[in-house]
Amino acid sequence: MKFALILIGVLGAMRAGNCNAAPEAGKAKVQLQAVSSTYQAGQPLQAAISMRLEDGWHTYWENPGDAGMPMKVLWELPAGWRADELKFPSPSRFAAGGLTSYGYKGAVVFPVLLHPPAGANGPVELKAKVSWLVCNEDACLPGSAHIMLDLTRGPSTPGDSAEMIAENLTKIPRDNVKDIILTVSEGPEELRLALKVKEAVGFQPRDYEVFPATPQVIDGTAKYEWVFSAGQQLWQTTLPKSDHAADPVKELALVFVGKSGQAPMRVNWKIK
Amino acid sequence: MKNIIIATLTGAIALVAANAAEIGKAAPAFSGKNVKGETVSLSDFAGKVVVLEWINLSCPFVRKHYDSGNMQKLQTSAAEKGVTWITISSSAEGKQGYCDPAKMTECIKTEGIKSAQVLLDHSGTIGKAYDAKVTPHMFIIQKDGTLAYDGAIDSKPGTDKADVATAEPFFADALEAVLAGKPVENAKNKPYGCGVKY
Repeated sequence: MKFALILIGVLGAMRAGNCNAAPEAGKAKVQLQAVSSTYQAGQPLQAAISMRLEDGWHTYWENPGDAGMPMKVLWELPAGWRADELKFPSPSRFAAGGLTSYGYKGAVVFPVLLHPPAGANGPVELKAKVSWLVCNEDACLPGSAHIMLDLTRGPSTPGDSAEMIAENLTKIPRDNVKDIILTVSEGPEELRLALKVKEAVGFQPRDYEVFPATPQVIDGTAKYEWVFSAGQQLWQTTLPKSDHAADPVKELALVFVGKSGQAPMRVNWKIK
Repeated sequence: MKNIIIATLTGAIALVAANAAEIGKAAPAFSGKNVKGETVSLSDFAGKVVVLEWINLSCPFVRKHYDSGNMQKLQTSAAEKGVTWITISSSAEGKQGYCDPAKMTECIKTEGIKSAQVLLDHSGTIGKAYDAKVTPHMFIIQKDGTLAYDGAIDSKPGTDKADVATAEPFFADALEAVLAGKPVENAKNKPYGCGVKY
């Protein structure tokens, strides 16, 4: 099956007759939705950009890893309207050709909070141009789409997308978790991470897959093997630094994604 | 038996990694075939400044620099300054960016590639010697054969042509420094692009 697909790909390239053998762009369908088809002036409205990817293709997290590019959005909003940055849900790991990337396959929903101004009134059309990169083992393709959403002013009434958006909000790592304190100390080639956990929390780092949200700090091949030091009441691990780590490393954000459905968390460290 | 093979392979890969390109050290020697089937070696250009550019004409990040004319401009300007520019494709057969000699010859014309040499590194040997990770990935080698630059072409890791004009030209700046005999700032940085399709 795989051989047949490669053959078709090569034939497609030959037929294309030019050097850019990428006749189909995108490999994804993208939509803009909101929890309600109505907005209230001066009240934030939860929206989301959802993406459905073709089989075998993946797209990228806010830190794409060794290669790749996260989704970019260029908004065209009515006067006074603002959109926050996209929120990125818990990623997965992809390894190909010795490179490690972080991202998504199948489907992914990026929640985004919209802010109608205090004086907003009447029907509005929100527009955006989104651009992305999808890759599989053999190729990378760019994609872009113009997406839009029509809203009218009125009391909030949960629409068709409300449940889907609410569910996907739970996949956004809870930020600035105070019960877990991360400290980082640096060696010439490695970083020593320590997690201090408030006892009552019952957090076990081995129950989570760990992703660096800060690019170019930790090497993509790092294995997060946590060891508990009873003496210091700390979970510790030593990880290889990225080839391109700043000197010294000044900040690191880690995202913990539960292996059995525990809520994802983001823990931040900054150098003192 | 399988374990021995795996151990040997791991050892071999580690050896390649250990000899990988390092700023300030001798750039790894290599030999490859160009589109005419001639063997080209790095040693052919001893005493010259050499640029290595990893290419995949189907990769959107590479397309940004070719569709905007940026890469061809850099190649032409380099040639005018006596720099030897070697474009290398390490895409394996069947993978994106793979071109046989006839196809690549056509592409050189269509795309206006102005490199002195275009090497077809299907086995990935040259790519792995330099640890070329993505396309485009740029390297600059000094006249004395030491590596002076290993990194991105510029500062904006996107696929939008409009970014080229407003990006910081990391690679071009490094080449300018090399030609002026000045120290190269930002000699090693993270290149952006599509993973090389070994």
